[in-house]
Amino acid sequence: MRDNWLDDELNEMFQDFDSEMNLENEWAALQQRRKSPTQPNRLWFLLVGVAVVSASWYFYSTSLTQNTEIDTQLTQQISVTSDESNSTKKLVNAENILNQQNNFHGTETHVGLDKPLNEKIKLSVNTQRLAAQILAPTNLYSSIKSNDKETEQLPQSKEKYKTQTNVKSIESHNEIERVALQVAINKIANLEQLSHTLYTDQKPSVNHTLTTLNSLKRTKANKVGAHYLSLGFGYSPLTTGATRDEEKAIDGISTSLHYMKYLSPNLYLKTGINLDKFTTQVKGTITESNTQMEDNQIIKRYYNFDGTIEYVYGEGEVTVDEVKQYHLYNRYQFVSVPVIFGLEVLQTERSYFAVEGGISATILSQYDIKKFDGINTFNSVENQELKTAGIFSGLAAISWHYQPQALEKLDFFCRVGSRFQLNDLSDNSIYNVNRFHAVDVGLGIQYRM
Amino acid sequence: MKYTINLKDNKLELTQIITLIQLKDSKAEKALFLRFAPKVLTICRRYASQNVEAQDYMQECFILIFTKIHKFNPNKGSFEGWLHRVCTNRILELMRKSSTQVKISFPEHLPEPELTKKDLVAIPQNVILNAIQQLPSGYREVFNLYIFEGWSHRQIGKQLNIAETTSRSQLTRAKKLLQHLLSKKNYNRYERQLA
Repeated sequence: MRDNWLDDELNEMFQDFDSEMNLENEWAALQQRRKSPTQPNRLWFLLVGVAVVSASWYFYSTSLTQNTEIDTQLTQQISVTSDESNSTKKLVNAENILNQQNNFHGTETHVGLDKPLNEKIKLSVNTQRLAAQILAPTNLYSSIKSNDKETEQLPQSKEKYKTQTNVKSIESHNEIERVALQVAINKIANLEQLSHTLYTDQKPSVNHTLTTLNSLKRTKANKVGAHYLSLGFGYSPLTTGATRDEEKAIDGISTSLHYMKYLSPNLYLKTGINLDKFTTQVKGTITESNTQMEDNQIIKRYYNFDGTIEYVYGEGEVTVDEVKQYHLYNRYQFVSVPVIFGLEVLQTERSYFAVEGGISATILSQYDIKKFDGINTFNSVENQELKTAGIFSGLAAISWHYQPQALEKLDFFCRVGSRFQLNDLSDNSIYNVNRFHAVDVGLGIQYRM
Repeated sequence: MKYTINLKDNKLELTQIITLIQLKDSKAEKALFLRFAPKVLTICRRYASQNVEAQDYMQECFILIFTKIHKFNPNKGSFEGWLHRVCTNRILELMRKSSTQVKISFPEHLPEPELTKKDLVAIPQNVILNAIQQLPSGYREVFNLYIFEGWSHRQIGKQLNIAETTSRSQLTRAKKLLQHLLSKKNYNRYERQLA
C-alpha cells in the first residue's frame, strides 16, 4: 500500500520536473565522451606477451633438444651363402646399400631429423660398414642381395618413415665365413640401440638367414622440427556480426600466410598473418517528400459559431512522399597475427587430418562503412570509434591434408573452420551490436622448407 | 529532397527521431537529447550523491539510449516509460560498478519527523533533490526504486541483492532521514547552500 502522503507528494512534485541545465554544453560533453579514446586493456597486452614468449621459448627449446622418438623397426635379413664369383661385386653392392641407407636416414640432408637420431643412424651405418669390413678381409665369396623397399614405402624419403626392410643375402660355403659373419653380427649386436637376432643354419650349403632388428622408431619422429610455409584461402558463407543494428552479415573471405613448426611428431605450432574481410548489408528506405500543386484541395476552413465547418476548395500544395529502398554494403577488414596449435590425427600414408585451435590479435583493422547522409547519397562513416587494432579472435578448424607422390615438398589441404571475435569492436557500446563470428571453408597448400 | 531537423521543433514526431537515430543521424540524436536530457538528469540526480556524478550518469544513460533505441517498441508503452526504465537500470549498473561511495554517518535513533505535507509542498524540487543526494547510498537506492519507480520490496531486494526486510527497514529510515533533512532547521541550511 502506498498510502503515505510523502510518497504521493514526491511523485507528484517530480512528475514533470525538469532539471535546469545548459543543454548545449552537456551535448558537447556527451559528444566528447563518445569520441574520447579509451585506454587499451592491459590484460590483452599481457596475454599477447605471454603467447609470444611461450612461442619463442618453444621454438628455442625445440631447436636445441629435439627429443626424437624412433619407432620404426629396421629389419635386416642377412642370409649367408657361398658364391665365390660374385662376392666382390656383391660386397660393393652391400656398400652401396649401406650408403643408400645412410642417405635415406638423412644424416646430412634431412632437416627433420634431430641430432640424437643422426648419431644413432651414424652408429648404425658404421656398424654395418664394420660388418662389411670384417667380411671383406676374409675374402669370402659372398653375395649380397638387396631388397631395399625404402623408395617404395617412404613418401618422398622424409615424411613417414614406415617400416623399412633391407634384405641382404650373403652366401657362404664354409664355416670360417659363417663364424666371421657371426663375429661381425655380434659386434653390431653389442652396440647400443641395436637389437640383433641371428638365425643361422649350420649347413654350409644352405642359406643362413640372419635377421637384424634395429629398433629405430621413426614413424613419428621425422616431422619434429620440420618447418612449413602455408598459404590458405577461405570463404565464409555463414557469418554474424555488425556494428549497427540494421546491418545483416552477408559473407566473409580470408587469406592466411602461416609459418609452421612441428613441436612433436603430431603437434605443430603455427603463426603468421591473416587477412579477414567481412561484408554486411544494410537495407533501408529513403522517403523523399515533394510538394506539388493540385486542384480540389481544402485550402481554408471556417469554424462557425453555430458549430458548422465550411471548407473552401481550390488549388493547393500536396506533399507526395516517395519511398525508395536501398542497400548498402559495409566492409570490415582485419589483419591479424595468429598463434595456432594443431594436432595431427587419423594419419594414413599420404594424408592426415589436423585439428587446430588458437587465438589471433589484429594489428590493423580497416572499415568501409556507409550511411545515408540525409540527401540521396551514401557516404562512408567516419569516427565510428571502432578499434584499429587489438581485437582478439578465437580460431578453430579441422583440415584434411594430402601429399601427392609426385610433389615432394607440397601438401594440399582443405579445411572447415570457425572464427569468432572475443572482444568488442569498439569500446563505445553504440557500435557493439554483434561481434563477428564466421564459419568458413578453405583450401591451401603447405610447402616444406 | 533534403530533410532538415529543427531541433527546437517539439512537434517533430518522436518516431521520426527514433528512425533517424537508427540511421545514426547525429542531428536526430541531438534532438532527442535536447528533448529528454532535463528529465534524465532529474532521474540521475536522485540516484547520485553529487551533481557532477549525476551528469556522468546522464551521459552514460544517453549513450545507452542511442545504442538500444532500436529495441523500443511503441506498442508496448510510451517512450518516456521505456527511457525511464533504461536510465534506472543503467544508473543501478553504474552504481554497482562504482567503487567509491561516500559514507555518511547518521544517528541511529532519529527524532520523529517534523515535516508536514504543507511544508513539503513549499520546498523547491532542487532542494528536495539535494536532500535525497545526502541520503546514504543504500537508502537512496531503495528510496528511489520504491517511491519513484514503484518497485516492490521483493523486486528491490532481488535487484540490490538484499533481504526484503532490509529493503523495508532502509526505506523507513530513508523517509525518516529525508524528512529530518527537509525539516525547517535543515531546509534553511540547504537554501543557503543553493543561494
